[in-house]
Amino acid sequence: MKTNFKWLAVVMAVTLIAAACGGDEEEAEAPATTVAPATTAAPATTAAPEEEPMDEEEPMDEEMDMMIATDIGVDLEAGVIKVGMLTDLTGPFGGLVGLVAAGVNAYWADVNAGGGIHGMQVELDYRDTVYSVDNHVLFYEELKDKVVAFGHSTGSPHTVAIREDLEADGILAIPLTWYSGWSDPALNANLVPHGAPYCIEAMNLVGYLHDVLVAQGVDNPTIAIASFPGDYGLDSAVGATLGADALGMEVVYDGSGNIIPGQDNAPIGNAIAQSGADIVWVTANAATFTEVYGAAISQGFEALWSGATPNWSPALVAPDSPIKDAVARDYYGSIYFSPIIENNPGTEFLRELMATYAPEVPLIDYVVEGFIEAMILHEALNIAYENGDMTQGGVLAAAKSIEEIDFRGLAPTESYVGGANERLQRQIWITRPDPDALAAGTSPTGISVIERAYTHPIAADYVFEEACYKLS
Amino acid sequence: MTVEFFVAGFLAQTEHSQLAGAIVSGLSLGTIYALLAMGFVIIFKATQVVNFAHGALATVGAFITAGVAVELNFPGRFLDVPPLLGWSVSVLTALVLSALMGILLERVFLRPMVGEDLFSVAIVTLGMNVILMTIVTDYIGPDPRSMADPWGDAVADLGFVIVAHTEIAQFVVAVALVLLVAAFFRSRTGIAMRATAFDQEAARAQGIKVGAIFAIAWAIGAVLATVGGIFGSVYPRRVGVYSDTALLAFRAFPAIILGGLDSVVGAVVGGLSVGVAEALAGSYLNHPWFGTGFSGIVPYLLMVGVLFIRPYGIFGTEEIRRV
Repeated sequence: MKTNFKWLAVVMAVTLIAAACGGDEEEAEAPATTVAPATTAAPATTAAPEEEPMDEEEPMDEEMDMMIATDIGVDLEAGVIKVGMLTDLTGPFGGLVGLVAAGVNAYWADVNAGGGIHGMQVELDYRDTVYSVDNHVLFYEELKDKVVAFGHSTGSPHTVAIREDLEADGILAIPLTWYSGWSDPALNANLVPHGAPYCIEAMNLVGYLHDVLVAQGVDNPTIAIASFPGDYGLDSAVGATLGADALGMEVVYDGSGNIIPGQDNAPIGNAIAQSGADIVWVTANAATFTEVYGAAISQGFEALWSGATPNWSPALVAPDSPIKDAVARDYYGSIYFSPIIENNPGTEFLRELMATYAPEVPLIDYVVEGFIEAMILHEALNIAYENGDMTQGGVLAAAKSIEEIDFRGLAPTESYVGGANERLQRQIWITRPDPDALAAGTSPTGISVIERAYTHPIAADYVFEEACYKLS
Repeated sequence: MTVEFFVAGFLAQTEHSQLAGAIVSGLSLGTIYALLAMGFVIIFKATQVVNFAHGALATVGAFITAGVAVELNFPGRFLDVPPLLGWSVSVLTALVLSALMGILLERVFLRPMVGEDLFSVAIVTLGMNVILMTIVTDYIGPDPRSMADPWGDAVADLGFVIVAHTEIAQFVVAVALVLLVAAFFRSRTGIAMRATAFDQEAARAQGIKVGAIFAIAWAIGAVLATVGGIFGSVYPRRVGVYSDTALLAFRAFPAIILGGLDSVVGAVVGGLSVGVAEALAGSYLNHPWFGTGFSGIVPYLLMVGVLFIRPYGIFGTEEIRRV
């Protein structure tokens, strides 16, 4: 019995201390539970439907065909372009990425139905990384000799893990991560990031809330900051700190990197309440945000709260949520693109395509991200064809030559030429919780938009020199 | 009275003081740990099985509660009853279902392993954990399942500290369950369980139905895990049950070891100690020097410190073997 006790104690102590100590960037750095469940499993290949296509491409010109250079992933004879998709479909972000994939699939289904890329059908070759860096690298190695480009790469550490290989192999990848480092020319040689980075998002919202309080007559508002560790949490926390510095705001509590999923985060909420901050910036996920927020407001604390997009879950303002009224009172959210509830040519186009090709998929905002990723790749493939170079390197060069891509209102235009400061996306959408709209079914994510394509002067003036938070 | 006066006076010096907040938060967390630890200890005490599926029991139990209270809306869909009464009936129904789940798991997975090496049985519980968590995670999805408890975000201002109504309910329920468990161990069945824990063969020879005792232990363990899971999924901690509710049980392990693997009293003392230690560390040991997540290590340091002095835990039974 004594032996059993000792064995058990030692095993538990070592295992669980290791688990507690592991900064666990993978777990901490990325969005977890911000959207409703996805019902889509991404198929390996998009199927061309029989409906009338919406966007018709010029059929492939045979003479032009003779002049097109190809190497991997483009078969001119078969009329096929193969694209790799390194996605987390069943891991911690499976719900979110499943929606992104559904958007990607619907977009390419429509393009294929319209004749594809100059007569060539685009086939998406999915791999489910389950949010494992090892799997990500493994599947990259498996696909790099089969596809012309990677249309999706989920996760910052995952994309970092293949970055050098991408450069060595000369292949393009579209990352699903808003890390500010992707704006660094030293890191993004083979990537086409899109959307405002976490760091810029934080500057915008901190600036916006500062202005709201000043307009209400609050002199010298103060701020409390708390975040996950890792690229997501700390990139965002640094952005909030830079914003506070630029506005002369005192940081009365700094819990950057202190929020750890799976640990007791109530003390952080208590400390924020004790700080008496006027503004609270939290970069976490919905579950841990709730722990911090719940602990703070249970002490009677009131402030303007905000945080990175992945903080948000419609569950926070669901009819049976105990904190829905408090959240509706306190919270200001953001999103990197136009939410589906908005009416613009892009969202109308998206709604129509989703109704045609994926009517079973709930229209939740991450579908928009799928369209954005697909539109970037579409533009790159078109340019590569026009350049007569559909090799892996040719597609990469084509993507990097995009001067302006218009997402029809779904997102701010992006450019991949010029310096880092010119390319850096600085616009976000600012939102407020809307429990009534959620209950009425008019806003599936429970938000309403209060600012579109917004840039605060401190974000506009920010001179990008390197990543706000450097990944080690 | 004098001590109480000075404590209250000290705490009142700083309104909503961080110390008072941390202690209440720690006691609240410790209560959850204690409930989980008690269930674990009862299963271990009766069957000698180290149950690595205890977190899964807590998650599934809380998920069942959410299902009964919200999706099925039982008994609200049949009867117009006050919210507290209606929710209590929902919870009691869920606890009955959780007890049945515990009995079923014991019968299917553990009973065939009776007499086998305890290490192998522990591995079986790891397998149970994976199976249960895979299924329940799939059902829960990325968003939490609300408990729809009647307290919502209501709080009570005690002057020196503010306490959520859910936390008050949690303390009351935990005390009631501790008393019930204590009473159980004085009942005929409880004595039979103690006898079984002491020596299964001797208990069987005395006419005790050891299999039934195992089933009862798993039923009680599942019920206590469910209550822990429920209180870990309500305001101010959460707005519903997530799949990571299971982590609470893993965080309760230091409490179990610290208190003594086979001691119910130890489970309560260990749970409360670890909860308070974790909350205080989270509040005061957050200097950059400690790095991130240090508060998560504190329970294990506490556990190791106690084991150095008392290898069987504070209240654990020392067993002497002939070498």
